[in-house]
Amino acid sequence: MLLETRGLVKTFGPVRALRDVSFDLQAGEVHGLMGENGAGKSTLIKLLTGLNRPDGGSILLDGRPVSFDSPRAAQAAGVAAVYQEINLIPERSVADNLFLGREPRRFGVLVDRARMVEEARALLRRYRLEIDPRRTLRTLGLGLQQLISIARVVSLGARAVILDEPTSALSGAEVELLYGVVEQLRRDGIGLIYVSHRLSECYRLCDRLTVLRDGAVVASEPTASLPRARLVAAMLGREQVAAQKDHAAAHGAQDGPDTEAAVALAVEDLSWRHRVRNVSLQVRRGEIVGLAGLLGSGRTETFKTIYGAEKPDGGTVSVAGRRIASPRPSESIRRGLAFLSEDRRSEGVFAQLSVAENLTAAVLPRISRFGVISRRRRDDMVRRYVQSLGVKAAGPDAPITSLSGGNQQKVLIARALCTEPDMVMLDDPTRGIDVGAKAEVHRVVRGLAAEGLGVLVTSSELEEVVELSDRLVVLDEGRVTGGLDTAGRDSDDVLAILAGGAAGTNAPAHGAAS
Amino acid sequence: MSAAVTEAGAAEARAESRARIVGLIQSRGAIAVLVVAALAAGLVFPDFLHPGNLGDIVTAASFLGLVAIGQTFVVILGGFDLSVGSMVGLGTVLAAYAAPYGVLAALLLPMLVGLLVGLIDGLLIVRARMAPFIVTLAALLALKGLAVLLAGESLVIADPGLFGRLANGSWLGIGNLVVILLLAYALAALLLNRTRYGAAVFAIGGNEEAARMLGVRVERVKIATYCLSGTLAGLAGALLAAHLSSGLSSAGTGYELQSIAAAVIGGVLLTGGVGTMLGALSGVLLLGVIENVINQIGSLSAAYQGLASGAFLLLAVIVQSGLTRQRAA
Amino acid sequence: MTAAVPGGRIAERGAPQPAGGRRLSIGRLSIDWRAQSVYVAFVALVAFDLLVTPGFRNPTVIRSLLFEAAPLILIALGQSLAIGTRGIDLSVGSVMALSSAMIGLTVDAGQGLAIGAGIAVGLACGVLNGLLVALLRIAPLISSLALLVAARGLAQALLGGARVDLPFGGPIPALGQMAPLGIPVVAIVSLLLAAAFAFVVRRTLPGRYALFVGASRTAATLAGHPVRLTLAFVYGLSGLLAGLAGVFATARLGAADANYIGVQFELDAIAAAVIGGTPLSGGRISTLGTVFGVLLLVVLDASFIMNNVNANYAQILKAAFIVGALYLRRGAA
Repeated sequence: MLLETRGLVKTFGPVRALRDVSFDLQAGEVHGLMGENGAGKSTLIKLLTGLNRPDGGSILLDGRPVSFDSPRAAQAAGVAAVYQEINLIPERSVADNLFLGREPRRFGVLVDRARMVEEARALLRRYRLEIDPRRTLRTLGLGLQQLISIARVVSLGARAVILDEPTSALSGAEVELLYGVVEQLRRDGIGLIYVSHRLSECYRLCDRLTVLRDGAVVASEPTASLPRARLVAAMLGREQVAAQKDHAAAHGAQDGPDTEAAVALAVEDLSWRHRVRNVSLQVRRGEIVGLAGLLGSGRTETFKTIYGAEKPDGGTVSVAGRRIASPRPSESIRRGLAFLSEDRRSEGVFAQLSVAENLTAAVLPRISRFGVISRRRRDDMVRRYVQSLGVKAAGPDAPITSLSGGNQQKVLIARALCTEPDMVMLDDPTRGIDVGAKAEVHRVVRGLAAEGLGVLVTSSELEEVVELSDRLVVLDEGRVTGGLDTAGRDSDDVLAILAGGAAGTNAPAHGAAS
Repeated sequence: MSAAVTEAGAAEARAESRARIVGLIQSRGAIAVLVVAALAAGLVFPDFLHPGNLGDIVTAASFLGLVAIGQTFVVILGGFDLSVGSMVGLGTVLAAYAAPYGVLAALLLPMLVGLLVGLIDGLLIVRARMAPFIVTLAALLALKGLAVLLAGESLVIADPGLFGRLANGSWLGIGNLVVILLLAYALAALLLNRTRYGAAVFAIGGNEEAARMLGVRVERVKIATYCLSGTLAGLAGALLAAHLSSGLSSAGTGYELQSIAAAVIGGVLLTGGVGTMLGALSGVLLLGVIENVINQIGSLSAAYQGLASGAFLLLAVIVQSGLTRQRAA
Repeated sequence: MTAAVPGGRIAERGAPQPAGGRRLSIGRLSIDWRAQSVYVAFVALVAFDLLVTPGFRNPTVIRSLLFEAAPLILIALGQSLAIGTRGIDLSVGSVMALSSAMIGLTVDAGQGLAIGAGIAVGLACGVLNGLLVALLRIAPLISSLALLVAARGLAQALLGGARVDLPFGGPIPALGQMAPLGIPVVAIVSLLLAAAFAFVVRRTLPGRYALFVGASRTAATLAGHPVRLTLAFVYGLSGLLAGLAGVFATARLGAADANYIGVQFELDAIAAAVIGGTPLSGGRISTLGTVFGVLLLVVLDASFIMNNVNANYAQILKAAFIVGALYLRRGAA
């Protein structure tokens, strides 16, 4: 056994990030590590590479217990991670990057460039990478850069390599190259832990798959004996989905959407940089549509492209029947489209400013006259929303950072609502807030639909999307791969479509409603 | 290999060739402009291309040239050193003080003080995490004060002797300062491109966080680079004192900005991580040619020198930002 | 990014809230000493001068201090707004020189016109800087550094390196001399503009947008704010104020001088803003603090001079003071 963990436990404050995780990696094996957000994958990686220390359990390398107190120590022992943000120097050559800090030298001082390039070429060739080592790293695709990162850590003596979440999908060519690299790693007896959300890649590359959920191992089997549907069920927690479903069905029966209602949002053929591919969908007034998809399926990108925060390469967006001609956030707001980002910390709150300023940030022109902001109108608006959403704050002038996560989120929802939109898009509105606040956010979202707004919502938890929405639109690798009414359908349908390609449907999403 | 591979390969090859062209413009553009400017000046002013005049240009540019070496390292690292101009002034004064104790003292004292100033700058930037422009701007003020305090306006070196010949003598018909300048650039190019230290400087300027992850000792390299810059500014001051036979507290005024301008005109990116010594030298010489031409015109005052370097710097910054975007595209 | 500050309730509205700042709590009254440090330091320094420094009580001293402070207040205001957007404007000193040069060139055509030309050229520089930052997305540090070199060079070239003396009569000399009740007109104008500036920053769209952009550029974009227009406005305003500051400094000097006016004022302006409670990390601004930051620096200068500290020692001490003050403030991000 190359690398093994036994009963690893790690807690961060009240959060139990890992409980009793036993995991092993054989020499020459590619081991897929899977799980949704917060499943504990990154914590496990941090423990393996010495960024964090475990609270319990042990890590064994070659059968001997080890304890790393820094990534450098882990690397020295032979465990290294290649992260999704490529940690190389883009403006330098491939050879420079491969040999930074250990360049071959002549006379003990001068770098022997010719030898360095030759050694780099030999190293790359070993992994069947036909790249000129003198090329500037930046000119290579991100996938190739990642492969070069692997070559670097392996040549530094790493025997267990963790490849953490390639950001962009590897292109067909890059997958081929990755195969070449993996072949050689196998031959060299090097183990690779492959962390990815892309099921198809994992199925093609990995010998074994281990699934984490809520900090525990819920499945660990050879790839051949773990079919997609079971994998997805393990990742998402199938039993829970089924239970939530009943609840949702009841909700759907009570106040189902009016299929005759006017269209609040119509998206046609929207595309952005291969991350959003020809997405078409519709949301009617009074309807809550859930955007379902695994992590990395392009949910956030879809929201941002609809909102105009990313400039679409093609396609149209209409709100309440009027097309948004020049896609950008200010225009979307003006047309009645509001958006809540999933990244509250860096794309939502203005940390230095007050509750009132944060709440009214999107409507400043509406509460001002001749460019002067009216305190009275601002405070009226703040009072109204603080009351209706139940924001708990010391006062309108309290700093936003003095609020709990849930209350900050309510302020941001209020920011979206006070633009008086026809259509609201909420990207993972309950991320990182406690259970009580979650329920309140759900109540607010349902209230919006009841008032006749269109709502498009997603969540990192599938059961939450199913519970909240009247209808689902399923995304996979930037494409709409299916759609279904949550009422009267079995949860197996959701899982089947999410398992990707299994159902093989490419039906347009609005087909379900129209 | 599949068709997809070749297609992706072709796209990458296009990106690579575009990057190479843009890179060439960035690193060699200044040389081209320098040659064109020199030839044009030669056409207009017949005396311009006279070897004597060319030697004068390089000699006059050698002090800024030495300062620009250090500045180039600092800028590639992703910082600034605004203290170098004052350090040159202080260097001339210190050299004038030390001259009676011998050539070595006159050379080493300014360099040692420069090293110390660089060390303080570097420590404040690295350990106290203060912005480089604030630290080095304050150092600029303090050093200027110190120079005036020590020397008043100027301090004459009574008997420059060997020290004076060091700067004003010549070797095989080439002025010593020219030799020193070219030698310094050659060594600097080796240091930048052929040592682990140079690779670390590029790495930090290119992506500091990644450099740290890759095992570069970021703090040490940064401090060493500010020390290098200070030392070279001290050396430039010593040689200027030898050249002028006196210490002038106002010497080197404006060098901090002119050295940045020279580096940037020579293709060193102010955002860090990219640059060549040859480019920086071309930038320095280009500024020297402009100064010489302004003097030849005669009717123009030296005040135009500032305008020319400012305009070139502004232009270079705009062009660089455009080129960088081109490359990123 | 700034992490959430635990237990971060503060009594004063809009006061900066340094992480880990020392504070004294008496019941509900909570004073953040670091945020108030500029006022404390100012009062302490003035008290020291009143007790120790000979001749400090003389009204003419206060008068000349205010003459010194007036242009510095203007550029420190523009600087503080640039810093509030998480940027910087290094060009202010050079823009003052360029404004001075324009006055020197146009003064023969009429002093009113000359004043207008000085202000206009400042605005033009600011707008250029704003365009470089907003449209070409050049880092403000870099664009304003380039402008620093170029504007000073242009100013020197315009005057041919010479000093142009201004006539003894007319509105410009009046600006440099007039001080009804011992308070210079330029100081009154600067303080009125500071008040107007405070209003713009606190209550109007461009001012608020600037701080939103500084607090989080991404969040501001998503909230539909005109980010680029805001940046152009901020640097344009900084240039405009620097242009006016150039007029004041030229009037005080009685001559247009591109080699003297505004030299290294950028450091004083940055120091005044940061010492006054505008952190370099953006999103916050304190107008009153900035004004007192300027007064503190000006009084500090005077204290050195009046205590017969050698001017060169004074320069070294002041540089050390600024570095020390900024060092202490750097945590207040």
